Amino acid sequence: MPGNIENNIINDMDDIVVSVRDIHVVLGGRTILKDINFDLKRGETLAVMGLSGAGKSTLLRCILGLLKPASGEIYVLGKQISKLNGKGWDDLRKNIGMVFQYPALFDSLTIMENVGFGLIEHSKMPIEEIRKLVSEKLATVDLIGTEDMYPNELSGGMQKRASFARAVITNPHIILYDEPTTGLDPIMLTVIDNLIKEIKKETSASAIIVTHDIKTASAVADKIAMIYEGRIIEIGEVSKVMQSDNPVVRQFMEGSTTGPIKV
Amino acid sequence: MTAFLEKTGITPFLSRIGIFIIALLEYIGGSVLLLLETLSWILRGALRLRHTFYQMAFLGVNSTAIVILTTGFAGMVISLQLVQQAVKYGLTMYVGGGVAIAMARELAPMLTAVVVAGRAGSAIAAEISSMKVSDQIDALYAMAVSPVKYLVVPRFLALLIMLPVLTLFSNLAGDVGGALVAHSLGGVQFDIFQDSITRLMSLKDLWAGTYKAIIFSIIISMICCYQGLTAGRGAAGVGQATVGAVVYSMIMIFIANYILSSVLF
Ligand SMILES: Nc1ncnc2c1ncn2[C@@H]1O[C@H](COP(=O)(O)OP(=O)(O)OP(=O)(O)O)[C@@H](O)[C@H]1O
Ligand SMILES: [Mg+2]
Repeated sequence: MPGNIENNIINDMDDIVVSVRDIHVVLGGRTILKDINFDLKRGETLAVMGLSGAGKSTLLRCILGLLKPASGEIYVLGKQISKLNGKGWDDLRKNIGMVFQYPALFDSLTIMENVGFGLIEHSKMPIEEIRKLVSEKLATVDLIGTEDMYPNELSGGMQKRASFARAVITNPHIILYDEPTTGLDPIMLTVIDNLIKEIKKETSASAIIVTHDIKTASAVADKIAMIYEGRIIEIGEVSKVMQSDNPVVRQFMEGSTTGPIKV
Repeated sequence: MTAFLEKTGITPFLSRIGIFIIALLEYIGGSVLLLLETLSWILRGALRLRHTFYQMAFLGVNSTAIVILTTGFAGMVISLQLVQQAVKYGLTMYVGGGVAIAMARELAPMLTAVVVAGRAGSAIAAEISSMKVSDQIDALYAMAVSPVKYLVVPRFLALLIMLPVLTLFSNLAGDVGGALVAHSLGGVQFDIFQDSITRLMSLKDLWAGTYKAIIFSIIISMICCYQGLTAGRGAAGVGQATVGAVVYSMIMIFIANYILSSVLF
């Protein structure tokens, strides 16, 4: 695989938007992730599953450069991220959308300013147009009329949906969803699942979606990666992983309390 | 040699001092780097006037009442001490100048900075650290917006402008307080008090206080923003960042004040 690397650029980069190679992550003296390897192809959606505390959010943080792995390399849109400077990061991150697990809306800004943040900061679009676009996006997540409210006036699930709208409004090439449907009611969950599918179809964005929900994973993902004790123990087509005979994967999928995973 | 040191129990002590010094240097280094980054954004014209004005009001204007109150009383107590001696020795024409010089050179800049560190510095650290622990700082990075440009620059500029202005108000409050006490306790006429100020105090004293205020404002904004941006996780992180911001700013203000006084006067 290293044969592909030349001048920090992956040759078949046209096809691979994220390439994670052999990363190890150490936090607070503990190894959180080890030997993580996978490629995300253009237009592909990868669901990352695993127990709480397995390191799923940590993996997304590494891809976004919010955390530095102790070793290993990550390539995003053809860039070796460890070699990026501030400007390089800014240019790269404008192409990535992120839905944080805890919504991370800016509390001093209104929902309209939050959702339109990327456009307000980085585009020359007039504010009236941004407002219109924000309202349209808010309508898709059932948040009509919340434009001038502040995040603390919204419920947790509503904040989550606003944060979803904020991540996708700029039509990024890569979207990282950290549990986008956790804390939503079953109907809203389906709405978001459908939105993720729609975005995938319309913009052909690639996505990594962390989820505990097997229904979401099978509905939106092409592939599933299962993280257990810091390693990817299974990765492949959704149907294959679903039928895996790895006992850990089986137990996770069935939600059983008996098996190799001690509870 | 090492075995001997270990037996004396001095090694753990020294290593603890070593760790403390490294942490202190890291802290100072971090704040200085933050200052450099802040200045580089300002030089590139990233001013965000609307945010800066908001912070000037939030951090500066809202501190005015408490600053005037504290420095007014400071002027009064200096006057109280001076006027008793002055009346005894018939030197009442020096009271005004004494109060004004003490205020301009030392008390107004120091007290204003300390009050602003407590009032505005804690607000800065609490706000930024709670953004940090709720991933809002990471969200800024994720959306390709520098937290230094977005959060630090407006607060830096706001304090840089407001602290010298507040210091001038403090001078005024201290002198008025001093005059009131001198008048009621020592029978010093207001025009004599005022005349004494203009005779004894030079403009240089006011300028010196202003230089001090500028330095103090940089200390406060950098330490408090740095504390916020490097806060640990959870509610405890916010608490520690806020307390640390106020304590370290105050210590640094006192140290810087001594150095500045020895250079300026
Ligand atoms: N800043 C940090 N310092 C120390 N340890 C950390 C830090 N951040 C995360 N961890 C640890 O890393 C591990 C993985 O955390 P992470 O948030 O990635 O889990 P997760 O798979 O997203 O879990 P969940 O499904 O509950 O969100 C946890 O054990 C956590 O305690
Ligand atoms: Mg997580």
